[in-house]
Amino acid sequence: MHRTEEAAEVGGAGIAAGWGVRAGGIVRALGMIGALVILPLIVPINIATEILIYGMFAMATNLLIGTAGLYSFGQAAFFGAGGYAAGYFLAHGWTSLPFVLAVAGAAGGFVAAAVGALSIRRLGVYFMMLTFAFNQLVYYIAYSWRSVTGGEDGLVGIRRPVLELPFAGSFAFDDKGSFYGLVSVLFLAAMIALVRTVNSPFGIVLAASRQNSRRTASLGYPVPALQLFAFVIAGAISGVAGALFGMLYRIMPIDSMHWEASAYVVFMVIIGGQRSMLGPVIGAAVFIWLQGLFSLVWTRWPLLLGLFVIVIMIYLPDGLSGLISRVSNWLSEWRRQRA
Amino acid sequence: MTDRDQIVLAADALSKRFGGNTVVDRVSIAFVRGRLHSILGPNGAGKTTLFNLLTRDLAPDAGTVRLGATDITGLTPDRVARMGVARSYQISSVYLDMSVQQNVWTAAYRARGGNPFVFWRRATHFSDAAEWASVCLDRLELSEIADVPVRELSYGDQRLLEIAVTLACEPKVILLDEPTAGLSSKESERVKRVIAALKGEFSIVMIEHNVGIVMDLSDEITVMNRGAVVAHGTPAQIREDRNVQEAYFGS
Amino acid sequence: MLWLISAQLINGIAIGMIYALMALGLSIIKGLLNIPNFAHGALYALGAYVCYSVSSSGAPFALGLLAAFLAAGLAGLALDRLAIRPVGAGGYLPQLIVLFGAALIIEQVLLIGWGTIGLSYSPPPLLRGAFDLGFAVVPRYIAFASIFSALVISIVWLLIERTRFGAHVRAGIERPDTARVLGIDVDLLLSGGMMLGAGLAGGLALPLVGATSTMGGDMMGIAFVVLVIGGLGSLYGSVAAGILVGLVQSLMTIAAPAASTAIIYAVMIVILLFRPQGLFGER
Repeated sequence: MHRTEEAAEVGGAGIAAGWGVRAGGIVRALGMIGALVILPLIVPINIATEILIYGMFAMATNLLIGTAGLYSFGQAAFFGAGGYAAGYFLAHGWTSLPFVLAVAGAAGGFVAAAVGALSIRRLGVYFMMLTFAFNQLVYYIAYSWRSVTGGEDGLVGIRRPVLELPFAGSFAFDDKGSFYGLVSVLFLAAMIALVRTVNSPFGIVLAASRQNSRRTASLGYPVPALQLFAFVIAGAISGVAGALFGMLYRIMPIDSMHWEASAYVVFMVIIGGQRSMLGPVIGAAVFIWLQGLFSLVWTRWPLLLGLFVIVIMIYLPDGLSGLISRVSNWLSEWRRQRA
Repeated sequence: MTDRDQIVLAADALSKRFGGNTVVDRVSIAFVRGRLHSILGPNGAGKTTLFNLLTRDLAPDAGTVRLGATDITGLTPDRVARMGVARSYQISSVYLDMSVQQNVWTAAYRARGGNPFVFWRRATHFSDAAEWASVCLDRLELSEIADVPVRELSYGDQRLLEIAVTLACEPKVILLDEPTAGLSSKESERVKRVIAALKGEFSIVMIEHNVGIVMDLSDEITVMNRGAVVAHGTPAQIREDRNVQEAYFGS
Repeated sequence: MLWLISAQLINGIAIGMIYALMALGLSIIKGLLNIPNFAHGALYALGAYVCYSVSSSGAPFALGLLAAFLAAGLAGLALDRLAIRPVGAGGYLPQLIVLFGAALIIEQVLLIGWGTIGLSYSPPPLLRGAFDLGFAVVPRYIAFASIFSALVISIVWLLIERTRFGAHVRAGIERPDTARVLGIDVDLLLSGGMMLGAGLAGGLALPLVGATSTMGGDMMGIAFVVLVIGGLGSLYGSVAAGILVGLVQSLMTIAAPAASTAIIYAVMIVILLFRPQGLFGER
């Protein structure tokens, strides 16, 4: 019994979930929905929305870091590409929801494909540096292209989108509550999509290529092509998250594309734990909460963040979800010994 | 003489240099279908490099490699793998974070024509691959530990898993790189038994240091020394060969 | 026009040498840790700020450079002992995260200590003015910075290639664990790389670009580009690439100032497409 429990733990990024019991999935889904309902009651609703947006972003990043083992440090470029692309259209009057979401996904996916294509075949260190460098490039382009992006001041005047459904009328998302609802739905969709991806043949082969890339190629899998595909998926979802961020505060700040933003999302993944798709969400929640907390205390709050991250890395390398699973293992051991 | 048709894998005048060193020196060798052909030789003789050249993990400096009648010298490793050349590695290269069954599944899925870009279906949906994986596990006597994470396996079990994965590729030819390296004599016996059961049904090429196993299992033996072929024949012939004795024991 | 071009060329060489210095330090650290040093830019900024403080307080510029050198070295040592080593067991990712975290901390410390407004510093009296070479005017500080960087790089080269200590460094780069076992202080080498590559570069760059809070991040991107263009395996590739990048960037400021940084990335992409291992790298 203990053995199969461990098999469920093992397998990185939820692989074993596919081999596990189906019923567990429904319970988890209900739990997630419950959490989504409760969240805006515990924290200010805008913060709740931000948590979900970054949760999406972090999960997408985890596909690259946790599942594929690609240490990509340039995701802010995808987030920003989606945000600016959708934001541009929204600011200029194109408010159809499906349209801007498609644009955001396409922009993020496209930038990711370009970065991926140039970075993937390189050695590990090269790869990390290249993703960072490309992030800088995209940031720089956004900074200089004032006419389109607003440069240093960011893209302003972003309007909330409108959903026109053929028989049901049109839904605007101008108030906080309805926008939170929209983001929740998209968040859930992204989470389901990513969990399914991780448990699919694609996800498993991707995880295999993380553990031993050469072996996976020798089995006949086109590893670089699979990695590029992972990039596109991650980029598209990140782009959508970016678009939602722009809609949230009706502005797309230039800093959202800065390398620090990339570092932050990697922090979220690591702090939360890369072994499952829930980890990054937890990481995002903790991070945003901390950010809110620290920024009240000190303008120099990134320093506290940096310290926090270093401490976690030293004492909790598996992240918070690792801590949670260790605690639950310890609890079940303790319960068994008492029985 | 053997019929051309019968040759499943062959190398012609294969050479490889690393820096100034010629590691494989104009090696020509042919592997006959259904036979177990071993490659013997002291350390550094170039055996693993030869394997790498055959699977295209390395590119040769000269010479060609043929799979049946097809020239595969210019292809990529994953292409060659898909065409039916499967190998196990000297350093165990199983996936540590997965279970035994998942390891074999990964190979089986590809062998059964699975598309690795499918990201919308659960992997468990593909029963064809799962069944074949179970069959392979059975033949390697690993079914009992199918759900164990590989990280926890004994080294001997990992080596057997290595072979199970190779088998799951449904290869035309299996290349085993030192399958008993680092194993106790009991574990080596188990590996020998499993390989003996596969003989005849599959074409096997084996690098192996355990001379006893080589002599017992092989249909044909090629001996290499310093990158070149020094002898070739049946186990009985090799036992008598002067060149072999020289290669191993000096003059 | 010719005058303008030659002025930019000279400027480019000086900047390029500083880039080369950064890349050299990065290269050494990459060799020892096998990950890019994401804190390198922050240490560069630290060097610039420390040099500013020391030099502005009346001490000679040389002392400022020395202070920059030491400050980065100390920071590097602290980083190594407090952050990098404790997470060493977990593989690369924890180390990368920790370096990022450290970069954040260092940059915030700089903001706390020196405020958010960019600082500028003129070269010391000895190095002001320029040499008139007829076809071009070479500012004295530019000449100094170039020659000094070249000297440092040459000394490092000599050390690494020609001395026993250098053999140890190369060993450390090939096999950090074995080197450790043999008693070579890999950590000291690490700090050395940080001191030289980043701190000194920051101090040297101070009179040229000033000290700003964003200089770290900006420089990191360029340093990575230089490493990639030059080729990872080659320490000297970084030098050649550094100069190339400096030259291209400076010349571009004549033709299209806004695009001068973006063009570097374009160059990198082109080189990567045709020669993935960089100009001097090994496959």
